[in-house]
Amino acid sequence: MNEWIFFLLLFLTPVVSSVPIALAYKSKEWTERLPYLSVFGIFVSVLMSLYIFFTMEGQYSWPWLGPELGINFVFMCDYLSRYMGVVTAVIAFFIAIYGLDYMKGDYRPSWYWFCFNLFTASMLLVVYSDNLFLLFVGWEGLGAASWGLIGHWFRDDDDIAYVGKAGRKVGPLELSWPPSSGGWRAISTIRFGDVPMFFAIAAIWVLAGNLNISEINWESLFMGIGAAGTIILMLCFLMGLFTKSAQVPFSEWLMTAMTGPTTVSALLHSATMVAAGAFVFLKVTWYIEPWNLHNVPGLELVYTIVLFVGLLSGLYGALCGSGMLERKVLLAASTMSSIGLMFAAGAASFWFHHEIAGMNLALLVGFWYMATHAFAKASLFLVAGHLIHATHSRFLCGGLEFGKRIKPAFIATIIATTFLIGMPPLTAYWVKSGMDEVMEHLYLHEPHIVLPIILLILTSLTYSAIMARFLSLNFIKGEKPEHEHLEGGGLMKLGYSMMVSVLFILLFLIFINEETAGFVHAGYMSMSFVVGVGALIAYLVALYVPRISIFSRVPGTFFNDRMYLPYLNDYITPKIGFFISYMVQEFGNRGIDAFFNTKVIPGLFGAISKGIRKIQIGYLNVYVKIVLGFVMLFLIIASIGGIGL
Amino acid sequence: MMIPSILLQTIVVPVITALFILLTRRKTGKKAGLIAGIALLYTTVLLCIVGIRVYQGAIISEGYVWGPYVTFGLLADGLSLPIALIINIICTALAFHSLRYMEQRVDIIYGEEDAKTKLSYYTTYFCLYLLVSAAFIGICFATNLIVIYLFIELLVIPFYLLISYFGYIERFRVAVMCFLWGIVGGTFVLFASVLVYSQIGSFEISKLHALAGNPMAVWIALLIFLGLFIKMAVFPLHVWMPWVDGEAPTCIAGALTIYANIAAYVIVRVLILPLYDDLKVFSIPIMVMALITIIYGALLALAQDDVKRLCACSTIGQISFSLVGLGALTIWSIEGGIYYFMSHILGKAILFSTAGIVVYVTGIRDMKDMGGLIRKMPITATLWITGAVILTGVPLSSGFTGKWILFTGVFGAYHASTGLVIAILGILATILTAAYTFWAAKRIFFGPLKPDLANDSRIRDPPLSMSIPLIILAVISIIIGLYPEPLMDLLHSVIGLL
Repeated sequence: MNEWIFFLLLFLTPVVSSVPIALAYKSKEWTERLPYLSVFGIFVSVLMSLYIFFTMEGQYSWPWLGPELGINFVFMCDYLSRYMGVVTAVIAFFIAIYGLDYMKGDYRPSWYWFCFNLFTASMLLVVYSDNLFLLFVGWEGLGAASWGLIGHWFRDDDDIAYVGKAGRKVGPLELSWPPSSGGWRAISTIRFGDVPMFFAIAAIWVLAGNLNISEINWESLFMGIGAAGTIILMLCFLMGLFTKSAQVPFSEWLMTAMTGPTTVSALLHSATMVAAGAFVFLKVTWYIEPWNLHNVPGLELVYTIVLFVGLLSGLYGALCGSGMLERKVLLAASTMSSIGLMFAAGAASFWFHHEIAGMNLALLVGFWYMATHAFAKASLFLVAGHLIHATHSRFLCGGLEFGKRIKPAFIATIIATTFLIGMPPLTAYWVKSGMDEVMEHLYLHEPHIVLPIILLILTSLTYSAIMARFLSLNFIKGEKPEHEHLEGGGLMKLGYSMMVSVLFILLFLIFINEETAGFVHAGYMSMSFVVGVGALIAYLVALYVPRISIFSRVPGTFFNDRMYLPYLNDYITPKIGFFISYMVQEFGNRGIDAFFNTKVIPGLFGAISKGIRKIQIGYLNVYVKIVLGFVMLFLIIASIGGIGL
Repeated sequence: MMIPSILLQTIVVPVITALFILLTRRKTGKKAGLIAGIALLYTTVLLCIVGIRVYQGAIISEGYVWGPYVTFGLLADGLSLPIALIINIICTALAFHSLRYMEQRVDIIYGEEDAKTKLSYYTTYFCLYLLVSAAFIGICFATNLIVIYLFIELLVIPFYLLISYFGYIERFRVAVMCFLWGIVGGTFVLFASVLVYSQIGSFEISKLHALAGNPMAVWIALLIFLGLFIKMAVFPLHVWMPWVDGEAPTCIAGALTIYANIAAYVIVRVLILPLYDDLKVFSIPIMVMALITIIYGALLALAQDDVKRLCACSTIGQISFSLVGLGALTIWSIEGGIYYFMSHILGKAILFSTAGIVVYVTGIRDMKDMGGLIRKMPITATLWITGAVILTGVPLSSGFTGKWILFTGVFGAYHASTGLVIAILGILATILTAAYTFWAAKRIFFGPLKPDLANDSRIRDPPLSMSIPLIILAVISIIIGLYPEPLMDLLHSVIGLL
């Protein structure tokens, strides 16, 4: 059987199916019809991912650039890829259906659908690639498509697409970003991480002689370069993952990525882009098997860094979310928080050896949390998009009366939030119980540190509260919206209803799968139950009191302004960069320029012309000197050059 | 059947066409550009024919006696042919691109002159342009040092005239600057050639290996490096580049980028291949200079508000990426350096010409006065982004593949702390490249459209004759980025023998 056909259809159909709409960008009639073709392209990917899930396993490879460069089409159908492929394709398909309604009447449908499908195809490439070069191709495809999508409404002419209150300044910085800035912030941050990642991959190829993640002898690679080499190599690689997954301090782009259409936000936050970083970390860790490499110097430090970057991002995102009043930005902060926990769970595998069905439980926890989060968060984003359409406001608003009038969105939000926060006995509870067990292990056994479990509990409780806040301020206790536009949106409702229903399937899978039995076991532990109940209480309290006026003023503003991290992104870093370039231009280059162009060259010409004039004065002694000088010069050259006379 | 004197034709046809245009300028008039383009198209076809034979393993050489000491030899092998072909394709594309551009440029500069004079300037441009193209191919195929020197110097004259006739701000001063720096650089090469002759009694490149181990080889290499570093605008010998590249007409700026980059080929041909072991002493210093230049050029580019100056400063840094590869002296790094050179001239031709289109359409050079132009110029914006993607090295573009080959080659030579320093500086340089290209894209094409630009109905994508040639260049970049094997096979057939 020619398996390559399935991979070709999987990756290329979304892109090829969106080419017609890209080419027909000038025709209104065709750009209204052709989105259906683009959605069909993604549907083919769904079918292919399902086919791969059920029938294919192991590595599949075909030559590309040959063995000298180590670059080939190598795909891995392992546990992570097979599941994640389905998750990505299905989520993209549901969002695409939703997008048929949501993007109707948009001024750039060609751009949108081409980038959207490219985005999906790129993520699928990241998911299935075993070859790091190929993975990087998909990785950069994600970056390019996200830039196009985040800055989709590049005209910056509608406040609804902005992030932050227009004109609001804190110090010298205006905390308001239009779509064109959102796109720029995304691509600049992502490239900042991708470049070191590229160099790390090049170094891996040179040092290991293999680019296939599953075939690289990681132990010998790390042992060969020592502690410093391992730390530098891995940190360079991780830079790409941290920036893509918006972990602190690279999280700012994610918040302003909300300037893009909501469908983009939904895809970006659930199954692509930010998820890609965490997914690649889990995938690479799966094959590095760090729990077997405690003898490798430097590796523990790398995993410790990832653990704490993840946990701190988790808490940072949750805290920021607690002060936010913009629908999508609140969800963005919560995504960053969740992704942080995925990193943390994956990193904990270094110390956590427990295996179920031959798989490390910590990695399974990280992955299942990713899958649960993907469907729940995509549902919430799609709901947010519907609400923005319905109220023509990007800020949290909507009371119970409004909630009743928009029931599908209300119900989907209830399901998505409760299934996501880790409340017993819903889906995320079992996964988070596994996470509790992993972090508890770090305290009770190796490396005996209590901070991870504390950070995890704090994050979980805050996270529950912000999810409840989203529900409450949109459907129960929010202000009455100024505009209400509740007609239509059938496909939008269908999109998030299908999306949220998958959470029930995941719950079912957790109970029947062999490898997730560990989650269920952990769910019955008292520690997990206490945390779960804590999350439920936090949820209920926040549902009842979504805004605390004293809190809103000082810490609320501080959190809403993302603890002023935008300053690092928009002020300090660019100022330093432009200052250096200004210094180079004004003092360095002008100096060199002036030296050559106003001193050396005119000076040289002056000296030559003076010399020539001197020849013409007619004194014999000058001519004798010149002749003698030439003779001397000739003799010197002849003696140096060894020219025989 | 092989076409007679096929290599000679690739040089002579543009020269004869130039003469033809010059002599019949009254009759050819505005068709001069088209004639020039067709002549270059013909030489491109010839080079493709040569390319097929070279890919099949043949080495094509032609010899013509030129005086008692110099034989005018031409050689197409796996190294010279792909470079000549890519350069010729770019020259052809830029010739068609400049058909409309030059009409406007002549109108702007010589608007007050009568129609005959204007036509005369228009035809002069294409005459000179053809000489530039011929000289590039001459450098690629030349088999001895004096001929290389002659072609390098020959280039300076048409560039001088092109800039002084059709350049932008301070064009006469800048033309002199171009001339002087070019002559000085060429003179070092001439000194080196004479020294070579004094040692081995020949100017032939094929006999340069006789210098291996000779103490003079280091001095000869030093002189050639000095001369070519001026051409390549290596820090601190770069001062001419922002002026010359920035103030030349934009289609000529693309050719100037080739002029600067082609020195990388000359280094490989006349130094690395015959004198590989003698050059090891230069490895680290060259890489240090190259890395400093990359960072310097990128920082300089970041400080620019002028879109043409930005491209010019970017050239300074980008050329030195190739130099890093050459400096590392591994087979892969050298091949990567040459590959990157080809990628860069493709990307820069697109970027410069797109900047030219923006200036052509809006009449504005300052990026502070631009913004939101994608709304009116979507094709131009896409072309700029494509150029940025090639320069930054985003996957599937030739820039990415070039960087991959180059840096894996460099890391192959330097693993430890030196490799780390190279990696860090390389990372910094690539980040800065992304910063200035995409930042410029944001400033020019995104955000709200300025009212002046919004109300100007003349602002729209230029005629297809200006954008299609650039689209072809972009497609070529993607093809060689996706499938670099044929190109790498060709390069490897020569460089792999080291």
